[in-house]
Amino acid sequence: MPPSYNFNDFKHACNDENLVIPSKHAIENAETIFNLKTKKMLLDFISNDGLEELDFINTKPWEMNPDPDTVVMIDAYEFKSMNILGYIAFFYSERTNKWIIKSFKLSINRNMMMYLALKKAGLCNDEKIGGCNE
Amino acid sequence: MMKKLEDVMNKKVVICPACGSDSIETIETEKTIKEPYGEPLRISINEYTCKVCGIQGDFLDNNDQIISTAIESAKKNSIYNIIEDLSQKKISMSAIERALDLPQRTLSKWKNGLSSPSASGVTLMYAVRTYPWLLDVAQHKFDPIVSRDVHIKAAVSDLLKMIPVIQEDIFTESGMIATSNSLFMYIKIDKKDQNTQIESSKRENYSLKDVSFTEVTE
Repeated sequence: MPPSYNFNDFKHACNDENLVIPSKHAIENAETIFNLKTKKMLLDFISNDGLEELDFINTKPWEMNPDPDTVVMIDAYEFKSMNILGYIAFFYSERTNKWIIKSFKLSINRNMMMYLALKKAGLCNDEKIGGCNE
Repeated sequence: MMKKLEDVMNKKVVICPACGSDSIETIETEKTIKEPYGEPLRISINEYTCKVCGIQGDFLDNNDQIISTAIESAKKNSIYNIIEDLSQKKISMSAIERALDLPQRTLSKWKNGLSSPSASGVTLMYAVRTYPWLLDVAQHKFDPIVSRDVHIKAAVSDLLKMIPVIQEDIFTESGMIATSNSLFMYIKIDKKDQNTQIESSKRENYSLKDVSFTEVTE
């Protein structure tokens, strides 16, 4: 299933702080994991192509949508930033005309990323995969 | 009466940005802002939770300004502490300014709040405070050979501080194994227990990968 939104529309919306609302957890993770301490820093990061090697994962209906007559889809992507593999999920609310960043966090595949980096550095071989994962 | 009506009219109604509901719970939360080498700063922000769809966040966009102001304040505090610390280490401000190619009196202006460093200036000061030997590197105009030597000297100096050496301990064995991208170092220390007079041996292993350092105790 293709993405429900054009990512560039979301990216351009990030130039306007009034159009995009990050969730509490997205803001917290942006600070602790990505050193993006404010909403402005987070949106600037996204609008300036900070999400590298963007990879679409899936699109799913928003489970908490209180309006059964309107389907709201959430697009999820993985991205890279230096050695961090991140995950972002967002949706657009037609009711409020705002984009919501629902998740902004480490990807669940981060261990594999770390493993590959360690392997590349010669610090981990195939026999030690279990030891290298958390 | 008019004033009260005006207040009611001007009162911002909080709407959930996701589902549009106005059934919102406001929670005042304490947040700690901390910059490297500075004291933590506590601030109070408002967070909202939609009772209908469960989305949480800063729906009124008020927190960013509060957080940004606190970060600026915390950075000023950090810069003050860093410059004070360098002064206590007998590194003069004019020498730092000369080495880093900064206009004279820049640091005293930063310290006294007469001007503020840019974001890159702040990061430069964090780097200098973390690795004071960078001043030596800068002083030598970032010459690659000198930079390498200064770096290695500082790393070895730090490494020696990490090895637990007691005067009465005797190094009976030591060695180093190097590969193209790693370094393994070991020392064997004979310790004499003050109470039992029983000698015990302990081998400490140190593994160096680039500039990182890992201690492995047997």
